[in-house]
Amino acid sequence: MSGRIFEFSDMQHSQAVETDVCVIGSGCGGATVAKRLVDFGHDVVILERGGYYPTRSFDQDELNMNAKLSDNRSLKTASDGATVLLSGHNVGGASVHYWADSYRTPTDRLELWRDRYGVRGHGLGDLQPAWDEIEQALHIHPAEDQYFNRMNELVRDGSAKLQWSGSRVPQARHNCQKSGHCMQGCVFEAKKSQLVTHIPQAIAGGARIYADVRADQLSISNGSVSSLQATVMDRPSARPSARQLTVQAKAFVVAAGGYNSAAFLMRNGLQSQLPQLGRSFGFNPSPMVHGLYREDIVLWRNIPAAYGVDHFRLARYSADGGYLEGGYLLMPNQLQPGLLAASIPLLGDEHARWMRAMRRIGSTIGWIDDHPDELGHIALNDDGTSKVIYPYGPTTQSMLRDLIKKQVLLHRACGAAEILVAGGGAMRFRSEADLKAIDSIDVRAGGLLMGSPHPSGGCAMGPGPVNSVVDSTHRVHGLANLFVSDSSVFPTAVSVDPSLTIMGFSYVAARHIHDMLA
Amino acid sequence: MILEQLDIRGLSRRRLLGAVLMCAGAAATACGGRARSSGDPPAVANGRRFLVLSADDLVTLAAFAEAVLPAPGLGPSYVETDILRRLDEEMFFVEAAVRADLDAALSLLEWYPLVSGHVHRFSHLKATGRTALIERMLSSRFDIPRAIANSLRFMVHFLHYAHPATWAMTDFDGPFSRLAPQLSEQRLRYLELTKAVS
Repeated sequence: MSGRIFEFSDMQHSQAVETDVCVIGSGCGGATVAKRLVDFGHDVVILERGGYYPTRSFDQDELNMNAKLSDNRSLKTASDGATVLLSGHNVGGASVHYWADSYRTPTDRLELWRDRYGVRGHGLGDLQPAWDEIEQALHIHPAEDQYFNRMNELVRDGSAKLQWSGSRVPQARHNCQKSGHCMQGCVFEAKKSQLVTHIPQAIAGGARIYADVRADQLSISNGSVSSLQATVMDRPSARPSARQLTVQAKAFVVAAGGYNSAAFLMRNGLQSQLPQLGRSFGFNPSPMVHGLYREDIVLWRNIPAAYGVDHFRLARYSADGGYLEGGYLLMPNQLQPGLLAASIPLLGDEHARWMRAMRRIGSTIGWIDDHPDELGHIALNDDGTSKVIYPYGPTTQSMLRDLIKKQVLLHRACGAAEILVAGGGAMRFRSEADLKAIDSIDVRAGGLLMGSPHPSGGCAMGPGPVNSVVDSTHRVHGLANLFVSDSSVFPTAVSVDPSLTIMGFSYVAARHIHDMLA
Repeated sequence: MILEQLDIRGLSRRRLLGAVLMCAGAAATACGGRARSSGDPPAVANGRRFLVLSADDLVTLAAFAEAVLPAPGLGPSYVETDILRRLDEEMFFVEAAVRADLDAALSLLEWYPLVSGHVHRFSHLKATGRTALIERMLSSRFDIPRAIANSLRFMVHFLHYAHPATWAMTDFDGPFSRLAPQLSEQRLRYLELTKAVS
């Protein structure tokens, strides 16, 4: 039996559907858990708030594709007003616009989650079979030489000069054409996003996907969920229609992504019984540094990050606990002209001077491994939409300054003639004295311009409802048939790009849901 | 100057905006002007409706875009890259909270000069004065003016340099596959809602 995708135009009337499992969200978590449940023989319905944009609708236009694929068109920020929240809003979720970096979860992180947060059943032995299967299905492999653009070569060679360790970044792609449009969706289907892997596989196994449907209200009684009320969104206006979809299921899986899952459960009134709901939230703040080179870099072609510096992945602390350095991955950056221009902190003719030399602009970016004692939280606006409050605590600020300094050093080692930090005020680096100035950079609103591509937490996993939201079977504490399967269950950030961790965890979740249904 | 003396760390973003807008409103009244309102209707320009931005918004945004983009002759203008129209479109499809933030930011920007030592509103300053003010806001030690200037600059530069009219200037060779634009349902709806009225 083959399933299908229903879109807003297919749902002209309110309707009700029945299924074994209703999955809310279709990104790395939702699509993977759905595919696995279909493999187990269950009937699955997936609800996706965003639209269905098949590959044939991709045009590589920066603004057109940002509007189709990015929630709030990449114009929503955290409460600091400067950290841009990046997430997907389409069938396939953020995987359709991600870079395809696909790391296994570092063992030290799995041990931290086990030892400090009480996570069980998600050790190396539990996840390895899933990763073996996923890596084969998604063609995950270290980037080959031909996929090193000039920026990647510079980062590889410059970091070697500085004696910083690094490695080829594992890529979920096959037969890549080097277009440089990973963030606009891959027209060649070379990037193995959920849209071209687990989604069609789930459909082939009978899954029904309802795009343009916003999950609203869970009906909860006697400790279990019986149904879900959802609203059909009118995609052309991005406004709710009067049409409703009611889903009755034996199990419900929230996989709306790190920015949305906790907020959905909060809107359903679960915060009083789950005090950690929305807490322990991280998003890998990602400062960028640009360099103007004497040679062509052409940042916008080939793959974004073929090579990454992992030398500083784990933060180092002194014996008395003071921060020393590290706590981030450092990567080559890739930006198309609009976002590149937006990240250059200059005005008028000086900004234009850089943009006229765009072919010679190189850029780096780093993901801060959110400090576990300085995490943020999700809250709700009056209209029920979510907001992200992130404190940028003292250690996080030190990490950011260290990451910026290391990026500046790297650009210097690579031969950049001029160096700028992406932010509000123009921070240029020409001398050692300028390097020292980084130590006093004010990490506050509008000071730095950062992306936040990797949300984690909000529905953290752990042994009980006082300190966590879901147990180690992904089940929400106190509710027999409500599960969470996305990055929101991570107790902390992953310290590497999280897609493979999300998918591995979703394999574990699917097995527990299958056990419950059986 | 009033803003520079406020310690905003203890204030929420919205409370501070409210306080500043109250000051701006008083300053506007004293200058014989009219404080803008979030209830102002969307503008109509060249026979085409806007859906979000009011006439006042367009004036402030145009003045801001002129100040942060290259001087005439050094690159295309904000008119050639259709920034105001595209921002109106983007804002129509985002959450109401994002629209409200833009509305508040434009209000504060327009009246910010009056509470920081100038005698004219932002859109009435000369271009050099606007650029200097934006630079001061970007380096301010206070969060709100810095965040507003940076957010608006981000949006203007993003929309401007994503437009094909800038590609000759930047030597950008365009999207890899040279595909015809695939307009989404939302782009088509926006065009339909804002088509020229006779």
